[in-house]
Amino acid sequence: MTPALSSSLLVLSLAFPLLAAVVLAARRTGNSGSLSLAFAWVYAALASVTATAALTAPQALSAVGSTFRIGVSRFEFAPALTLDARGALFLLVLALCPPIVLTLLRGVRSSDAAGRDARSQDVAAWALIFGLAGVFLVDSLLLFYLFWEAALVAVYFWIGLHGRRNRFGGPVYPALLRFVLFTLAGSLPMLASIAAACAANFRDPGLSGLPAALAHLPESTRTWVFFGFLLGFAVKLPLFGFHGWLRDTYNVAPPACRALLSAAMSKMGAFGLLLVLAPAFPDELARFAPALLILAALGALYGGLLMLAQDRLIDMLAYASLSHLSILALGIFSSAATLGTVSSTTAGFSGAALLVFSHALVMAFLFALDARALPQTSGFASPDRGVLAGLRARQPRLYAFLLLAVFASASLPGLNNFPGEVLTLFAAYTVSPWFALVAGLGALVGAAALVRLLHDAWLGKPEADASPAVVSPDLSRRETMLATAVSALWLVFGLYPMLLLRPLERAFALVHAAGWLP
Amino acid sequence: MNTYILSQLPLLVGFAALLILAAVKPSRDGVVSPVTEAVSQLITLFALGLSALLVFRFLAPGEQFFGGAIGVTVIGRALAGTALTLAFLAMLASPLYLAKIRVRPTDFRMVALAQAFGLFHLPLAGDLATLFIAFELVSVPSYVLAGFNFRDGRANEAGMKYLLLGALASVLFLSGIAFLYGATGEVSFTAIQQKLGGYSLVGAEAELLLAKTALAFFVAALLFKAAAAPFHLWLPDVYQGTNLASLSLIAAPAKVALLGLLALLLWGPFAYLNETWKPLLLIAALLSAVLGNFQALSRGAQASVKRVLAFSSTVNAGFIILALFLSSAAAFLTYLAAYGLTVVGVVAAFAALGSRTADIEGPDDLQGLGRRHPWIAGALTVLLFSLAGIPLTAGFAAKFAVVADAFTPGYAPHPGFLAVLITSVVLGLVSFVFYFRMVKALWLPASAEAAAEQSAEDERGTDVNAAFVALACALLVLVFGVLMRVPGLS
Repeated sequence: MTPALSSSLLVLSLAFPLLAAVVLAARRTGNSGSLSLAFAWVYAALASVTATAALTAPQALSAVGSTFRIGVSRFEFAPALTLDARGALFLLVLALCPPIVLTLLRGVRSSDAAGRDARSQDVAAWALIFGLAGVFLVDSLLLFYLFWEAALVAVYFWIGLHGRRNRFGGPVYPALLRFVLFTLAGSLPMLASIAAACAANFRDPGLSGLPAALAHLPESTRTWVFFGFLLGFAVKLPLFGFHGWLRDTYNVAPPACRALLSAAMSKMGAFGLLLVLAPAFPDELARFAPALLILAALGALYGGLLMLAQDRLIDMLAYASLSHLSILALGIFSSAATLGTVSSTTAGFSGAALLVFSHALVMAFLFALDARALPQTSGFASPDRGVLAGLRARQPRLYAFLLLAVFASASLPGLNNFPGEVLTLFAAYTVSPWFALVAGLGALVGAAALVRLLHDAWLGKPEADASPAVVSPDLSRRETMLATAVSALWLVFGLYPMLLLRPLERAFALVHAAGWLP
Repeated sequence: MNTYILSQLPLLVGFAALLILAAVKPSRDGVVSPVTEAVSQLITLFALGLSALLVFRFLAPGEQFFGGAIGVTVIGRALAGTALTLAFLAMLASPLYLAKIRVRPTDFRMVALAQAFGLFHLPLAGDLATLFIAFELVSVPSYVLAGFNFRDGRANEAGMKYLLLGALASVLFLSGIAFLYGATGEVSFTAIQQKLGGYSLVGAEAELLLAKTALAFFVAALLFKAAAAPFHLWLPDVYQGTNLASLSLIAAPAKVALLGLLALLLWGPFAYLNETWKPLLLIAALLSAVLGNFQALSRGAQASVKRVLAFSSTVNAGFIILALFLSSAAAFLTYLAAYGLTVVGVVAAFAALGSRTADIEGPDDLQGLGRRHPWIAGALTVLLFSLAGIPLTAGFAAKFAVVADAFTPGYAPHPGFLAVLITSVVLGLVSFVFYFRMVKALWLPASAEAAAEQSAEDERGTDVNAAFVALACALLVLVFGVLMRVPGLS
């Protein structure tokens, strides 16, 4: 692939969501669902091509603009995009999640009960995708931070304009504010770290130049810079202890927003850990790995245990998200901990990257199905135990796919979560069996909770008064086709993970080669 | 040609012209004829604009006038020019608002020009006598401005409070001058700096003690005027009581000049005493960040956007104090200019959004205005984002410059400085709560009862002046945010 082609692919992948948002915002008519969906498919094709190119290319694709001098101290800054196999998985997430979510929830969106402008939902969705694409594609630190906050602003307006009271009558705004404050509590220290990295040699080193730029800093300053970045990523993921925003935000968020939050936005944290922290702060990560591993393992267990206590599908999914992402973080931290030792392995990194992709694919689907199950007139209802059983007979196809998705989420061998989870647990085992044990237990408990839910749904008796009067129709033919295709993807990547694993291993080996062996 | 006299000439001539105009065409109950109004407006804008232009164009750093009574420095020139530009923007925004609150517009502009005259001299002062006169030239018109709308009881309270506490600050300031003169026997800043340098070299303890006492007085007086914690509690009352036209003059140009004075004094005469003033100011910066942010969350503060603006000014004063620890003036000046511009814009937007009879009081009054005035509300959102330090705004650029400067290799920060800086950045989080509350009121759907309260009859025709200034400020804030600096200042 020629450099010109690859750089134009990168620029297009970044610019398309912005274009989509602008076009949708400029339209006069209220309902923009079908146009937005069309955009989603075009973007899926475009971003998949870009991601495939990055996966197959021997080196990272990149597009570099001309250098400016900006800021008060006139440091050098060049807008740059870059994408290698590691980033490609994140872009694939962005490519595949919007079509899934928008196809399944189109009906949900256009029948916004309060008669609010549905258009702003689509604009917000594309603004969010733009922000995420920027985070995943840019190489410049300043732009990275800019897109990081842009995604937050998009979600702020999306939830603020279209959120609903949660099931306890809790208003939207406090939950939203908590989400914003949590995120900013992470991103403001990250900003200080970015400023320090830029000041270190009077230029914006970019994500790829970060390791070299930080080498000049004194040890203590490096540690501060490390914690600044770590905090930003830990909140976004979230890591155990930083998850206070999670459930309430999912509860008040509109369905499509909720699905993208879990599937795509939480991956910003994973991206930071994998592509920023791991290459730039190997020593610090190794030094603080014990504490971080404990947090990750605890998060996996805690998420699983909380799932047992939930009645409703959505709360269960929120905590399943916490549990899975903790396992993902566990993989990253374990690989980082093995750095320089004889048992040095990149399996944890690769496993985490695989989990990024498969977790997103499953969660987007699950959250969309959850919202799809009940009609929108009932608010953003999520089926609980009693309702699930009552709906089963009337939505057989939806339930079949729900079953499959729950199995995928529980990491059934053969489905796509399995390879990633096995790899991360394997990496954790090389550090200490206890981490693997605790996290594995968490995964097990979570799976048990999901199976119990399914038991109620398939074998339970419907409660007499729990069944809602109005029920959403079953999946249409188009939706069924999409669901089948998504399930096929799960199967493909579950059975043949080498498709992604091979380029990933190569990319990680390339990045972590320097200083990898003692 | 004496460029110093030339640069201030527009202000003097403008003041005299307004004085004559006010005498010839007195207003009746705050109403003047359209021609008089237009003439007085033109005179004011012309005087302020031309003077700002001349300052940047003709005053050369290093020049001295009248035997050193006036000394032009890079920082002083930038501060004078910035303050006058901000005053220009503030006056550009005010005409229709002045008509709405029915104060005498010509008189108001006269006081504003008097204040501008002080703003011109304060950063350019070269000795202690000029300094004190300029200090009072800024202060006294500010008291008058604060209480200008005499029909409003709260404005009276604000003016009186400002006067009494300002007088206290003046006394402190004057004591500082007395002690400094006692310590050195000099009035010129350069001579004082040399003397103090000599004292610290030979260890003249008695003289140094006097000088340090003087320093303490100066710091207290300036922190008082700049409303940095712990001397900030008077500010919310003054802000809340005063009208918006006066507020933008008090809150932006005067604040820029007074905060800038900190740099002129501490980097100038007191440069050799930095081991004394740095710990003092570090405490003030920390307290400003903590108290300013958390007090703004109190119920009383949340009921009034002006009070929020006051506490936000304390927070920003803390950040500006931190910029005094850096090795270059660029970040300091950028921060001041960005902050001043943002405040002028915010106040103009509030003025433009007010109803026919009332001003915007609490955040609830902003409810639903995003739909009725999308452009002004959009500008206000950008400006609030700038206060909060969201990327692509001047506020972000300023904060980034300070933080980046602190991490520049080779710069050895004062002990504890980095900790206070990071604390201030992270406490910015708290300020998001109150800035975002206004953004929420502007754009997000209102609750049913709040929506019912809005009535169309109180609707005021668009205040084009204030709206224009708000939009212009928002645009500039965005441009500076993209450039990440304020052209001309760094």
